[in-house]
Amino acid sequence: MSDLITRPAAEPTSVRPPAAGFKVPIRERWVALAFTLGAVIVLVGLILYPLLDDIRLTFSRLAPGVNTPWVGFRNYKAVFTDAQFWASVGVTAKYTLTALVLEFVIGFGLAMAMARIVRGGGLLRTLILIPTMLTPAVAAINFRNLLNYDSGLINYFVTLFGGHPQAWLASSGYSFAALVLTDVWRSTPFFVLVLSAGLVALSPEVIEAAELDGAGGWSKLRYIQIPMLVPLILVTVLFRVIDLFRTFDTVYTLTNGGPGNATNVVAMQIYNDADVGQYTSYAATEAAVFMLLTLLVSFSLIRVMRSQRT
Amino acid sequence: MRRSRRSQTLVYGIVILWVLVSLAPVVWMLLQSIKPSAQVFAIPPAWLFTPSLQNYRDLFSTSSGTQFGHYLMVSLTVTISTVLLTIIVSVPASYALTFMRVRRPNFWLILILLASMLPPVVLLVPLFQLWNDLHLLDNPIALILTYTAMNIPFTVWLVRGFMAQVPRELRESALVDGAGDGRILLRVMLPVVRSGIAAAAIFTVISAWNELLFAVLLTTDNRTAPAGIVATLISDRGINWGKLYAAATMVAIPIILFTIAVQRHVVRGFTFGAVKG
Repeated sequence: MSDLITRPAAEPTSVRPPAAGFKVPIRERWVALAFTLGAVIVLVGLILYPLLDDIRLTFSRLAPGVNTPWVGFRNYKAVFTDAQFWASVGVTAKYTLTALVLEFVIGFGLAMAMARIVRGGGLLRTLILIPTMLTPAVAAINFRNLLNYDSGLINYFVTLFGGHPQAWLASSGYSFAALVLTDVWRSTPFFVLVLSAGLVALSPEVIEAAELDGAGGWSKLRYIQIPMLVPLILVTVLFRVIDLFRTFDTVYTLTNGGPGNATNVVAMQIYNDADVGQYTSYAATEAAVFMLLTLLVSFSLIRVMRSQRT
Repeated sequence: MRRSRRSQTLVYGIVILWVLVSLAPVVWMLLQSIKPSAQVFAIPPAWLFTPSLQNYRDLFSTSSGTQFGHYLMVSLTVTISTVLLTIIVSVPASYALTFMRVRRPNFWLILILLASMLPPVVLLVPLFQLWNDLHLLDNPIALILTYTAMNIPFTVWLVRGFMAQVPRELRESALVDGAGDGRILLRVMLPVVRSGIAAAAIFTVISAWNELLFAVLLTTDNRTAPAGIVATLISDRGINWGKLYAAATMVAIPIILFTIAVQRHVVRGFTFGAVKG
């Protein structure tokens, strides 16, 4: 999966384990093997093997002109004490949180509005979805042009209203903001779509009962709608976090990690250290550490989801 | 439910405002692409101009040195092949995980889920090396297989969710009638879970068409369209924005039209299982 359209939320449904002492019939086993063979071959060859290869690399020293197959934990020591790597983790975390909060709040507001729309909902939903479909790299190129100092539309409007033109992408604060806004523009529709479907699916009886008890809009939202949507919200947040964490396309195209390291997210850092074509053990180690961090975040979110469900 | 006129106006106002603001950049992109090259850079912007297809002609003219037509063909080839391959290998796997009594099914499902959480950049170094060793760098086959691997986990997961809603008796009675699993999958299951497969296929199309990281990493001449655009943008100091906007539009429009055409399935896929309606 790439940094694509945000992923929909398909909830895992648990499978009934076979009863104790039960034997899978031989024929069925062969069929199961045949049916899964294609997927298994591709996944083992292109995900599992590269993953193990990456881990093997982390214990070696491989750089232009150097090839030592075993150096123990030296790479890990280097990565753990590498300020720039941790700075990129910090940028990624800040970016993920900022974008997530904005997308959720705006998305929830728009979903509340969409849930009340009587006519033209279908057309509006299509229009809302368009930014999500757009190729992220293309969207970022467009924004890059809009933010251009000399010929960008943004500076034209700024000067039109008497402001001073800014070199937006040359300032750390502004370029970070531009990056966050690019994603907010692109991914808020995902929240709108899922949350408005969730709001429509809430049982109207409960809401009406609350209204009869004199609940106003705000307390309805706080005590009924949000609590009832918590499982859905958590699944959606999980998908977005996984997606934001891996962000590469928009950074590469809009800011290339700059100015300085202001928008240098982890994916960008690894990409630059891998220095395309130089098979470096250092980038491989950064990747391994990044994977551990991703798993940590994902698992904590899944744990929260589990505890909500019981 | 009572809805007052004022709250309706407010609701429509909010939604329409968001739509206008979020579509403005897209409209701007289209406008820029059909402006005469000389006016693309004009400040104040030329709001009124005679539309021309000059940018597109420049983009596709063979003398201009861009390979954009070729890039688009690569993108199409890679996207279509990835979707077909992903569906062909994932759907039977979903069937096996749903209906067969596999040992420790939950273990496999969690493994699939983990695979879909893996950031692609983690595999950057080893995958580059792998394709290099196989002499498949700059070959669309490398992109097709890489994208297939990235899309299998989610596809299996989604299609399995749709299959799990099919009553098990359907398969069992077909087995009693003497049908094999292959036939049951093709004749019985496919028609039932069609919309799930469609949703998965659509997400795969969008993901393969838009992907950038491996597209820039694994190609040099046989680039995909997004990689082609980014490469020209980052390598040239004197960017021809008119041409670039024409290229951007050529990448954006097909995927937008495609998604709108199949929107029904997208929404189902997005909200499937997350909403117990």
